[in-house]
This record gives sequence, structure tokens and C-alpha cells, in this order.
Amino acid sequence: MREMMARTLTFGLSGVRGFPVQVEVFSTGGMPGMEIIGLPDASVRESRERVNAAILNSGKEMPPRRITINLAPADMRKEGPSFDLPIAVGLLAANMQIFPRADLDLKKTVLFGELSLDGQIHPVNGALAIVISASEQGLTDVILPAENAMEAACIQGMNIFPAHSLTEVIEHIEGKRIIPPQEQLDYETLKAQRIPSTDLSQVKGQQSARRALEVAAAGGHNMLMIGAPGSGKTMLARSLPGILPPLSFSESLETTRIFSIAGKLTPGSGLMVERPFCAPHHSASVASMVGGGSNASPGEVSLAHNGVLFLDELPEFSRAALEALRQPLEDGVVTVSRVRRQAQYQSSFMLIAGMNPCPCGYYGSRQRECRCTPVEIRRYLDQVSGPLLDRIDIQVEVDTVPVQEIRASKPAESSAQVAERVALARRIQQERYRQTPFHCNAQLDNAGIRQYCRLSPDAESLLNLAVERMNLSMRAYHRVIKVARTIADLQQEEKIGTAEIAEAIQYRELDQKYWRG
Amino acid sequence: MIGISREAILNWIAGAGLSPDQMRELLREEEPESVWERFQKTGVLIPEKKLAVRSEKALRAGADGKVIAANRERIERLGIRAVTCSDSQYPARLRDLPDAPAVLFYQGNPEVLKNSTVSIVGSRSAGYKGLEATRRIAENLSRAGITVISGLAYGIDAAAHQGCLKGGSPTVAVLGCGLDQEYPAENAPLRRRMIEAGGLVISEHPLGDKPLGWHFPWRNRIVSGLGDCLVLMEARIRSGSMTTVQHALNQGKDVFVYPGEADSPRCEGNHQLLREGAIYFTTAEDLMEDMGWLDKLPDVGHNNESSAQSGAQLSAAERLVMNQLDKGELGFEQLCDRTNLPAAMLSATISMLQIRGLIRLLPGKRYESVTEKQ
Repeated sequence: MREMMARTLTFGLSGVRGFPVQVEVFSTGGMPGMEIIGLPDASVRESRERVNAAILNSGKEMPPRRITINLAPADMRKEGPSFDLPIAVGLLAANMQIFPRADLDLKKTVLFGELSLDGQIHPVNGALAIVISASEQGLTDVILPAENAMEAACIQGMNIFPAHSLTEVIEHIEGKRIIPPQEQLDYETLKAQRIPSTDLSQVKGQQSARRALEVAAAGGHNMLMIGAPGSGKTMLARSLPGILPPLSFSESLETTRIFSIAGKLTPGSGLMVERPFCAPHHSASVASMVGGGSNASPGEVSLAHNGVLFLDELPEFSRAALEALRQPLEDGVVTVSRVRRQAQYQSSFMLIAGMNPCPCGYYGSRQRECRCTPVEIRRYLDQVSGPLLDRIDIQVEVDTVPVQEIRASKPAESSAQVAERVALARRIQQERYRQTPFHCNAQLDNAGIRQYCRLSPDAESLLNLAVERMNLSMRAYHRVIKVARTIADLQQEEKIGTAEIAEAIQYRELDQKYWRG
Repeated sequence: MIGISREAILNWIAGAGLSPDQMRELLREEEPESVWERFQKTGVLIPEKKLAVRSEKALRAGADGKVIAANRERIERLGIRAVTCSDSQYPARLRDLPDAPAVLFYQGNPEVLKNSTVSIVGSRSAGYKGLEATRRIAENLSRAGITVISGLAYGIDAAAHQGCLKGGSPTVAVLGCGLDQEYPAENAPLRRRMIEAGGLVISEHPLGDKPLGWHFPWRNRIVSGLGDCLVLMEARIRSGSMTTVQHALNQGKDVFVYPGEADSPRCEGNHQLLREGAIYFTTAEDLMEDMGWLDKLPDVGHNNESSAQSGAQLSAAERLVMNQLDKGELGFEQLCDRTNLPAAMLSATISMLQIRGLIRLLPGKRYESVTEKQ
């Protein structure tokens, strides 16, 4: 019996990076059987059965021969069902069941997709990551599951062939019927269609919190909202993505890639245009926050990359989960290490936290009597003290709006109006920090503050007076200056004056420790 | 017998858990030293009297040489002194009470009880208005040289002590546990400050007595007993403060009740008492007048200058805000609504006024004008 050999090309995933995988199929005489080698995990090893059935159901044969399938490089772990399609095509080629047309090189066509027993092709996670990696390797032709096509449609210079079944792939490879390539999608047209999910005009009253949100968005400052249950903290946080500048193309690629790997992308949807909003519950574990699992998959901080991470009931989060936020807050990336895997995910997000003023939530409320003892309140507040609080520039108290005021209040500004001012302030910052590692005011370190945040003499003496009279800490001192810088940018002022400093002082609610006496 | 201090002996007797009557009788007839001597010789505390088994046990355990020495050392380290009801230094106000404590342990300066005194009591979970009022009244009483007595608990008690300290007079705390216990832990710094300022901390409990729930209503008779009159700031109907009022009435003291918020459940007790004929008052001056301490009343008339003077230097926005706040406290949203200032400008204005001390932040992002009171 003759020995026969075929090769196809696909990609495996390690973190957000794809790596090329050669699928080598060797067919020889001997005891009939099929073996997959090259560090496959269980889902790859099972592809044997799916491929077998899919081939038979596509009108082809599986001759009784001894078959070895090697996934090279053999030292990288392969996971997931996306290897089904390249294995099936390799098998068919090695058994002389298909004959690729002359102008198609199987070694240069990227194949991936999960097969069902009847030969249909199912979508897989991480399609965007694979296509980006393929494009980086100089490859242009990709055959992928039809439902993943939209994700890949925005990558320039690629020929994307969306396939619904193995039969279609076979006919395409043999040249009998070419799959119509996916139309290129322009990111700008996608962007034009975006509708913010929660509009700021739906938030009634809350003048101070709205303003604080605008300042936070303009400077990329993390923010803490303190208020009784039902005062509208979640609503405010949800409208933040709508007032931030829209995702740029490269930001969208980064974020969509992470969503694609995590399998969080709605099937059939394209690149994300809206900034992500992640609101993990306060029972979240460390692994779900920063990423983990045996395959080191991304966590909430990475899913919120270029978007908003909202932690409601901040003191209820486990200390470990909050501690784990420090690296991503500091560096904008998070490294997930597991025994077999290490992956690095981008995770630069705006942190918006919400908390009650006391355990029962009604301290200082006019609606209801608070029934907490001073010790309980102290203990509750101490849950969030320390390094995390250090990274939060804006702290603001959110007042409950009584029902009658909600009905009577005049129409509020919409997200679009606020977004315009925010975009302008962001542009000023981009201009200012062109040659520096900073992107926005929130990232300034102490040296940066000295260089870029010039205070007028009046403003400086006012700030010193405030530190003395209102017991502001030195830590608060620098935060106030940074926030004042953003307020000045919103006003398109070069210098920081007294009005900016005075407003910024109001965003240090926790420092005015009135509830501790 | 050398090495046994009088305080250590009294601590030993107090630890036996005798009834107050028994203890008073014993200490009225005999010096503690002779009681101790007899016990050492015969093992009997009170001749021809059978004590409860528990008391006998406690006495034997407490008489152990090591225990006595350790307690003596602790007593000296903490600077604790003791007086019995037959001593001349025993507080005169307590002497004639039917349930007067037989022994009082104290830290600090007992001379302060020679001043005029006012006992201030109220809820541990009081509203900020009640706390503010307590501080203000205690401070003004203290300015007039009156000593404030309270129980060192959270809330009103702590506010009363703080106010008194601020006014410059010494203040007195009566505890419901041994003097070696730091209870409530939160108020330990306050207790230290009180002692440093020449104040006094008193308890009828021996060392090691824990702050058990039933100690406090019983302790309250001493709080009311040490004051020339009793002030109630905030109390629910079923509360420890109301038991103090009961003690004060039994002792024949005047009870002054601060009105408090009319519709708050925290002040239900106040209003019940006022209906029953307690004395209504809102300021320290009211109280001093009613108590006949006219010589202590300060000269009035030099307080109301700041408002008018600083008014001249206010900007237009600041005047707008002040005009609203002069009518009463307001939340940020209401201020925003009534002044029609944009949120950014209002924030800045509020900061300016806060820094200049003209307004003050209250819980719940509400503000009040500082010049409104006093």
C-alpha cells in the first residue's frame, strides 16, 4: 500500500495571540485507526469522531487505513474544536478524496472551524485573534465558520471565505464552486450606527454626580460613588460608556479580540463599537476578576479593556479580589499564570465603584433612619481604605432623588451633548501628552503633575488653605490637582485657577470624614 | 499584712458579689483593713452571717496571695483610688441615696465633683443634630465652669464629654465595668484626654468586671446621682436613658429635656417626658437660669458679628448660596435648583464657603450655614 501525506494550516491560541499550526496527516496501510498527536487536549482528541462522521455525511469515504495526525509545533498545547476543519480537509487530501485546484495552496490557506456530525460548520471562540495573527504572518486567505465572518470583516487586505458546511469547503478547494468572499466592512460605518445603551438624559436630577461623571470621563479618572440603595449609582455608571469617546479602530480590535477569545461575542456580530461595560457581582472570585482557569482565560478586568469596570457594593468584594485589581490599575495589563499556561491580557479600564455610606445604606438619608453603630460604619468604610482608594481620584456622594422630583424635573442633557465636551477635553490632553507615556490626566505621576499642572498663585494658596481647614491629606492634595487639570481642560483653560481647584475639592468626599465623628 | 493596700482590699470585697446593703453595712461599721484581718484569721467576712456559696468561693479565690499582689500592682499602675461610703471624700451627692454604692473606684481628680454638675444622657445612635446640640450645650456649660457628667458611651455621651472638654472644664464619666476595661474601645482616646484634662472616671465595679448588659441601667443611678440636675438629649421610650430619668426623679433631681425632632422615633422619649412635665430647654443659658446659677451666665451680645461682617466680601454666587442656606439646611440638588447655578460652579462656590468656615457639610451631602446658631 502506498503511503500518503497531506498538510493543512490552522492557528492555535495562546492568550490573545494566535500561533500557526501545521496539521500533518499521514496515511499508510496496516491496522486501521486514527491517532492525533502534538499535545492535543480532550476536545481536540474528540475531533476524530466528529471528523469521521462529518466526512461520511458529506458524501466522501474514510478508507480503512492507519492514519496519524500531527499538530506541529508539537510542544504547544492545542485546545478547542477549531481544529476539526483543517483535520478533515487534511484527511480528505491524504486519502486522495479531494484534489485542490491548481491556484490554491493548502499550506497557505488558513482553515478553522468546528464540525458537527452532519458536516455543518459551527462558530468558534477567538476567530478575530486568529485572523489578526494570520494577517501579521502575511497570510491572506482564510476559510472560517460563516458566523465568525463579521468579526474578521474589518481586517484590511484579507480574503475571508465564510463556510457553512464541509461540502462547501470541499467544493471551494476543488474549484467547483468558489465561496463568495466576505465583503470588507469599514469601521467608520459601523461606528456611525452606534446607539448608547443608557443615555444620560434618562438620569434625573443628580446634578453633582452628573458633573463628576463628566469630569471623570474627560480625564479618565477612576470614580467612587457613595449613596443610599436606589439613588441611581448603577444608572450613572451605565451611561459612562456613552459619554466616553467612541472606540478607535485599534482599540476596538484589542477589545473585540479579548471578547472573541472569551466567547462573549454575540454570534454574527462584528467589531465592537461601544465601549464594554462590565459589572461583576461582589461575590466575584479572584480568578473571575483577573482571569484564570486551566486555560488562563481572560477575566472581568480584561473584558473591560478600553471600557468601564463597575464594582457596585465595593466593600462587599473580597479583599483578595480587590487586591488583584492593583496590577491592572497600575500597568494596564494583567498576567495570568497557570501551571501549563501563562497569558498576558490588556486591561486598561476606568474603574467606577459604588458603595453605601454605611452597612444599612441610609446614613445621612432623609428617607429612612440609619440603624448602624459607629463601629459598624467605621468597619465598613475601612474595607475600602488603602491602596485601592489611592487610585480613585474622584469620590462623590449621590443623593436619592425623591419620586415627585423625578417627575417634575426639567429635561436633562443627553449623552451626546456631554460626549462632545468630553471629546474636546480628551483631544487637548492627547495634544499635550504627545511625546510622553501618558494618555490622559488620570495617569499623571507626581513628576507629571509638577510639569503639566501649573497652578495660579491664588489657586495654590487656596489649595493650601483647604488642606489646612478641611483636613485634606497629602494624598488628596495631588488628586485634587489632577482633577482640577481635567476641569481646566473641559473649560479649555491652560492654567488652573481658583474655580477649578475649588470644584475639584468637592470630589474628595471620603476625605471630609464627617461620618467618622 | 504588709503589701496589702486599702484599694486592693476594697477591690477584693467588691468582687464578692454581696448585695449593696450588706456591703454598706459592713463598711459603715468597720475599716476594710480589719475586715481583711479577720478574714485572714477566721475565714469569715461578716461575723454570724452565712454568705452565698458563690460569694464564699470568690472571697477565698480573691484572698490568694498571688491574686491580691497582681491586683494591687494593677491598681497602682492604673492609678486607681477607692473611697467607701464612710469616707469623708465620698461624693456628698451620693451619700444619702438609698442605693448608694458602698465603694467607688476612680481615676483622676475627685475634687471636680465639688463644682456644680450637670448629668447629660442620651441615645448611643443619635442623629447628627442631637450630637451637635449636645456638643454645643456641654461646651457652653463647661465655659461657665460647670462639670458635665456622662457615661462614656457612643453618641450623646461621647458628644457631652467632648463638648465639655472643648469648653475647658473637667468632665466625669461613670463606667459600667471595671476601670481596667477599655469599653467602649472606640472612646479610649477620649477617656485618656479626659483624665489629662483633670477629669474623673468612676466605677463601682472591681477590676476585671466585664461590661455586661445589666450593669448599665444600674450604673445610671450614679450618673443621675452625681449631677445637680439631669439633661436628656435624645431617647427612645424603651431605653437606658429613660431609666436614668427614672433614677433622677426618684432622687428628686430636676430633669431637663431637649425637644429634638418632633417626628423622629429617636426622640419619642423626649416628647413623652415633655408632655409629662419635664423642663423644656434648648440652650445652656436656659438651664443655668432655671437652676438659679445666674452668676455663671455669660455676658450676651458679642456673638452676632461675624455674619454681617463677612457678608460684605462675598461674591455674587456665594451670596446666592448663603441666602438660601440662611433659611435652613439644604441638599446639593435643592441648592442647584434654587440658585440656578450650574453644578460645576456651585461645587466651586461651596468649597470656597466651606474653606472660609461659613457653611458646613452634613451627612447626606447637605449643607448648613455655620452662623445660623450660637
